[in-house]
Amino acid sequence: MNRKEEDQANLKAGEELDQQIYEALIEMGWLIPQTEEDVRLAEETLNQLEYPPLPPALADPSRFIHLLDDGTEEDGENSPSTVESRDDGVAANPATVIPFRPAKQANHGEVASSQVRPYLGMLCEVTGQTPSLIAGELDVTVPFLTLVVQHRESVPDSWRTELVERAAAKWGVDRSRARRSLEHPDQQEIAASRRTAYSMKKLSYREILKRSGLRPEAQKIWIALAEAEEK
Amino acid sequence: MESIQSGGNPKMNEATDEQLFALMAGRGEEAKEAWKIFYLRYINDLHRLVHRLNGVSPSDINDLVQETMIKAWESAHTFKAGGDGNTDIARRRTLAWLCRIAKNRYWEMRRRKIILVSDAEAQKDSPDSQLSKDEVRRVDKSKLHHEIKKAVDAMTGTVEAGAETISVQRQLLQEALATLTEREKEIILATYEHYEPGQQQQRRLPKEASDEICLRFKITSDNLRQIRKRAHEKIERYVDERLPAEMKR
Repeated sequence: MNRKEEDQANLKAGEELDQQIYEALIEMGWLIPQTEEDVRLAEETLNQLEYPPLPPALADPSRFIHLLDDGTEEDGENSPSTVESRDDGVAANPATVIPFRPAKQANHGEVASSQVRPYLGMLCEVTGQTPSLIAGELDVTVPFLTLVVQHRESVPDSWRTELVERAAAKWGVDRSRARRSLEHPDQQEIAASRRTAYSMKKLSYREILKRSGLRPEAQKIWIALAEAEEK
Repeated sequence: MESIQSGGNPKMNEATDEQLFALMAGRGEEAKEAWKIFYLRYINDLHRLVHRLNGVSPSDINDLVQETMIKAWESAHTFKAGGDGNTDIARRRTLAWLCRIAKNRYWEMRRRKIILVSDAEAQKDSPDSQLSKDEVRRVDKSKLHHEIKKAVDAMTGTVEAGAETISVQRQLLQEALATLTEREKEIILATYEHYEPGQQQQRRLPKEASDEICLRFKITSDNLRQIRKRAHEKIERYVDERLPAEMKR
C-alpha cells in the first residue's frame, strides 16, 4: 500500500470511528437525536432500559397552555398559572414546575412593592413566566439579562432604555420601575438567589455580549445602540 | 373547551401530526386543542429521548421538555410532514423535529452553565469568596461513570444476543467514552453535537462552540485540538486493546 492509499484508508477508518462514536453517544443518551435514524437508534436502546415514568409536572398540558403566545389566555381555562421562576443567573430553583398560582399583580403596570428587584426577577414577578420565556419575548437571552444587571456600570444607558421600552411594549411594565430594576438592583437579593457567587471581574459591554449567547445579528443591534450613544 | 384528557374531541384525536400542526399554525379556535393533543401524543417519547442527557438535573430536563413543546407551538408553521403514509416513519420524523428544537434549548442551557461555572472559578481565588461546591453545578464524575456503567450493563444482553462485531465495538466505545475525563468528555460531546452523519472530516468545531469550551476550561484553541486528539486516541486504544482478534479487520 502506497502512502496515498494508506492516508485514504486512515481517513476512512477515522470516519467510520466517528460514525460509531456518534451512534454510541446517541445510544447512551448523551446526544439528542437529530434525524429519524437517530430516533430509531435511540428508541431501540431505550426499549431495553428501565425508563422512569413521566414526571407528573409534565403530564398535563393545561398547566402550560397559558404560555402559548396568541394572546387569548384570559379565559377561565387559561387562568394565570406559572412555572416557578428560575434562572441559572437569578433564581434559586431551576424550573421546577409548581401548581398554578396567581400572578402577584393583576395590572402589569402597577408597582406591587417598593422593594427594587433586579430586572429579570421583576419581570418574572410581573408576568409569572419563566426567565427563558421572558428572555425569548424580549428577543434576548437569560445570560444577557443577568449580565446587564450584574455589570450595570459598563452597560450603556441606551441598552437600559431599549430594555425598558421592550418590557413596556410587551407587558405594559411601568417604565420607571423597569429602569430602577436595571439601575439599582437589590444586591443582597440577587446574591441570595444565585447558585454561584458573583465574579468580581467587571465586564465591558462587548464582553457581556460575548458571554450572552446572543446571535451575531442580535449582538450587532446592541453594539449599534452602544456606539450611537458614544458618539 | 372540553378536556382532551377526558376524551375531548375524538376527531382531533385521530388527526395526523400534519393536520395538528396546520391547526396550530393557523392560530384559530382549535389551535390550542390541537397543541394539547400533540403534547399528549409526544410528551412521553420526547421526555424519554432526552432524560439521560449528560449533567442535566431532572428539573432541568422537565424544563427542557416543557420549553420544547411550547417552542413547537411557536414554530408550528415550519413543520414539514413526511413518511408517505407510514405512521412509524412520520412519528420518528416528528420526534426528530422536536429533538432539534430540544437540542437548541439544551445548548442554551449549557451556555448558561458555562457562564456560571466560569464566574465561579474566577471567584475561587478571591479572599472573600463564599462559593460552596454545591453552588457550582458540576457533574459528579464518579456518579456519572456509575450511570454509564449501569446503561452499558443493561445493554450487554443485546450484545450477547447479537454477537456482531458492531455491537461489541459499540459497547466498547461506550465504555471508552465513560473513561474520559470531564474535560475530554465535554470536548468530545461538543464535537459530535455538530456531527452530521455521512459528512466527511468533521473533527472540527464551529468557532462559537470552540470559544465556549475554551472559556469553560480556560484553555486555548490549540489546547482544545490536542485534548480532542488525545481523547480520540484514548477511545481508539481502549477499543483496539479489547476487541477480540477475530473481529479486527
